[in-house]
Amino acid sequence: MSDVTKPSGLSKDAVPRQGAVEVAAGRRENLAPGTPLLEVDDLHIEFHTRDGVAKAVNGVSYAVSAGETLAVLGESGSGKSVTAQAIMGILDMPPGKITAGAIRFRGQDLLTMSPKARRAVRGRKIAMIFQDALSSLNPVLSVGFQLGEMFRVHQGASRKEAKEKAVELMERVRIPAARQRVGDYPHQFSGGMRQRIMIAMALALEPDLIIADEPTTALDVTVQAQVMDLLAELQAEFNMGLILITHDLGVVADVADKIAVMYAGRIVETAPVHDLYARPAHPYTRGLLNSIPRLDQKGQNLYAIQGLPPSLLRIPQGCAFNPRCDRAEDRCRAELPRLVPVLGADGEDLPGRRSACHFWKETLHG
Amino acid sequence: MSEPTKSENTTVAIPGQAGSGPAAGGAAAPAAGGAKGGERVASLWTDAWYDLRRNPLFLIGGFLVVFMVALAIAPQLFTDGDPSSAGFCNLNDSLKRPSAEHWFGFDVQGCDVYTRAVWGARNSIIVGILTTSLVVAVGGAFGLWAGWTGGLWDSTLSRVTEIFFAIPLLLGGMLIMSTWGKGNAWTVSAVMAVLGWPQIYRLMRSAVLSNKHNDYVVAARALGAGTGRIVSRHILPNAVAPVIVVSTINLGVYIGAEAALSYLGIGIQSPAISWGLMISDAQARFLTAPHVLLFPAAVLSVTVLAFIMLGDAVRDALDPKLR
Amino acid sequence: MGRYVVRRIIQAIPVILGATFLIYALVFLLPGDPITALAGEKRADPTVVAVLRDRYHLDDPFFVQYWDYLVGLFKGDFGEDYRGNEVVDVMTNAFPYTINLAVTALVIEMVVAITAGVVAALRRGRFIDNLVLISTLMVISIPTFVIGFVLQLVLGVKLNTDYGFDFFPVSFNEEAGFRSYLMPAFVLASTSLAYVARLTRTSLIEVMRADYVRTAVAKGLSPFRVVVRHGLRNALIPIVTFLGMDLGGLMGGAVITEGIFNIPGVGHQLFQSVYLRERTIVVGIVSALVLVYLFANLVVDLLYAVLDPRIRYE
Repeated sequence: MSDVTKPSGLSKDAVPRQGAVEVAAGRRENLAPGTPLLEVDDLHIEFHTRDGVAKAVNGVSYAVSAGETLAVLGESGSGKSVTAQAIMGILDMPPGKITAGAIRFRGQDLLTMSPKARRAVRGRKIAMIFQDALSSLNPVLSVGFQLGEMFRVHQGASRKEAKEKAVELMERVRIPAARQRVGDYPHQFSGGMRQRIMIAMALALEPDLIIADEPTTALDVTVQAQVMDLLAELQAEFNMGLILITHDLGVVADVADKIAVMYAGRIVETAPVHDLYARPAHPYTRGLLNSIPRLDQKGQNLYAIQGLPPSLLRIPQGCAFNPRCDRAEDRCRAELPRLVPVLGADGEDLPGRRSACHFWKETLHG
Repeated sequence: MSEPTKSENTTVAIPGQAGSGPAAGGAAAPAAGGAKGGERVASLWTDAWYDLRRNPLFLIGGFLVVFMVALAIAPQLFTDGDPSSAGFCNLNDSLKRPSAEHWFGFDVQGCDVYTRAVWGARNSIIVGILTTSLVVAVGGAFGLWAGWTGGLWDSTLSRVTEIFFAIPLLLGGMLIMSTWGKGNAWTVSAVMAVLGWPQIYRLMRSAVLSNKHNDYVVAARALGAGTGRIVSRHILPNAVAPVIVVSTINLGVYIGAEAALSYLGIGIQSPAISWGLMISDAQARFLTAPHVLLFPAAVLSVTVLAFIMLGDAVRDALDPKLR
Repeated sequence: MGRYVVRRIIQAIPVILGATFLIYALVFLLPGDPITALAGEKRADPTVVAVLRDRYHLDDPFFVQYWDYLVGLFKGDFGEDYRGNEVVDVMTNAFPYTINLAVTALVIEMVVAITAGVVAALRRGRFIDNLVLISTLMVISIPTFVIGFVLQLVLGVKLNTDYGFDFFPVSFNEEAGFRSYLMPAFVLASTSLAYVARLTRTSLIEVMRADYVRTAVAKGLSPFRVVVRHGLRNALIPIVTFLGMDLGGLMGGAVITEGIFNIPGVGHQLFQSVYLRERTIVVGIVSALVLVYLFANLVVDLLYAVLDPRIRYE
């Protein structure tokens, strides 16, 4: 990282600190302009279970650039976490099986890489933050060891150096008295602190991309905000790509650039974050938005989408959402809607906006 | 240990070869949890039965157990000989090798090993079943009581079990059996039950403790259900599964222990027939006539194996975590 | 940590007292008069019997005898047998053999069983896994003494007579040294070995499913490091507990194994003493074995705290 010279052609949404820009630029120099950092292309994943084949992911495509935050939104079972696990290469196979598609990181397909090359990407280039830090941290190893392990394994650091870097990391994620606590075990920390340690671990080698799988779900509301702010701040500082997986629309609004909404293993809508909040183009997204309690609508009945998410063993014919959709017609039960670009009321392009609904026009403009 | 995994795929597979259950992030699991304990238990057993019928371990183990029990109940059906009849043993046949008429050959006394092995099943099965029943009755009752009432009785009983746990089955068995002196199926069972009850006690106690504060028990109590009803409808059904699993496996273990005690000469005594005793009698001439030892040993091993296989299969079927 | 240790030691005291009492009570109830048994077939001289009974306090009430015994025990005095030998001497002669045997067995058990268990867990459902599962099931089912005889025949005799490979002595032979212990130790360890292999397999499979193992994989660690550092480290906790508990089983099993291979250890001694109604030796040996067992459990408890920090900071 010493021969940092060439600025890259990447757009900088965030304005990181001077040093960080140089560092980030140097590390990303090989990326051709316009090439996304990570590209998921028509990914299909199945799980072979006793009861049959569960189609967890059915043709998901999305892309993330450096410095960009993509929020992937969906209920449990929508395939959002499974996609993330496939990107990380931590999918349980079997029963899981990637049947089609590609995952390109800096233009290289991760799925066809050798195991060794793949391992070099994991943790170093792409890191993951898990939902439940208590169960995701090893209970019998000190947090210092677990953080330092990244440097020891990937950079060959000595025990002492690793510990020193672990302390630095803990300070960076603002854990008080980091030096005293570096030898403590996960169960000795509070939930928020543990999640900070998870973040520190993901950040350790300053990866290009971080996947955060419901990073705040297990935390108290006040702590949630702190952790999200920290994550957003560090992302901007290092100009990392971030995939934020969540079922919570509230978390997304402040930090994400764009959103992909998933349902039954497919993306049903993508949009820049504020457009989606203002005017959803898919009935499912609209239902999700309507089911958020709002202060200005106090006293009104809270909206709930009727029915349950479909079993992935038996995904409904046509549009998977049709049994729960109040707009569903015969066409929805017969024909699978493709994810198509949606247009504004006057036929103008809406960049980044796509919907997989036969009636996107009515939903968006009606 | 050399490199434990070679390909990336296996590495990835390790963390959650979740068996065949609904996939981790995939299918919505069929909701199996009713509010009532009874329903949960019912579905547990239904699922277990579904698995068991397809498990070769269960089928083989079950068949062997049924066969051994049949031997114990009606040995006449499986052999014409009667070891207690005069003239059953003929010294002229001493140590004769197995033949078409006498599958297992003859022992040193000239007795037909096959017939003796068939008649020997009775004592082994009696010891196994009797010991297990006693252990379940005593350990189960104490465990239920201690877990339910808690307090002083619980801590006293738990200390007592620690003392019993400190004495290994075989050592304790040797001490008591040599005290008693009259080794037969009944005394051997009683002695092993005395030493074995703490195991079921612990199992039962922890099952009761873990269910006692479950929401549905608290709810049942709030609805005015009496102690008897709560225990019989909610606590016991949930404790039964682990007790059955451990007891089935232990049944085999006790049969093996009886053989060990008889082998040492302090279990079942001659002229009663015990596989352990047969093995003990055969050991002196093992190098010249191994069949006299190996046949009863094989029958004994198969019996123990049958019960362990059965218990193993039931455990696998009942343990949702391993699914 | 210090408080944890002290608490464990204090908890062990009533168990030690209770266990020695139980053993003493059981043996005190042994039928038959020890002195007449000593005389064997001959009729003993009544006056000699009286003197001996007095000397061994056989006419004192049970609790007095037990108390005397307990006091002696704390001074390291296990009493004398009915022939006037110090029980401590009998035990110090016999114990080294048993310790060699048990330690060898424990080492075999750990190395073979944990390796087999790990391999089976990592190759779950494959050939090697089924091989481990089936072979362990068979080893568990076959009584130890049968395994002993068969190995004795195959390794001790056949290997020598048929192939001229004279490595495993048929029965214990002081001159053969460590070699002499290998086969008996394997026999002694066999049942537990099978249990530990299965336990390791189950435990590791369960641990490898844990979230923190997924994290370790996501960190880009090598498969070896994931399994050993993050998996096995956690999976070992129940295994260590089992190994401690199992020492009791090994002690009991020593009676049979030492008998088969003619090893002059405590198991052998114990078995003879039960026949000879040598109460003091029986009580002494069993108490000593139980103490060893309880001590091992104490060590396991402490090891447990080393392995699992959640216990340490309770």
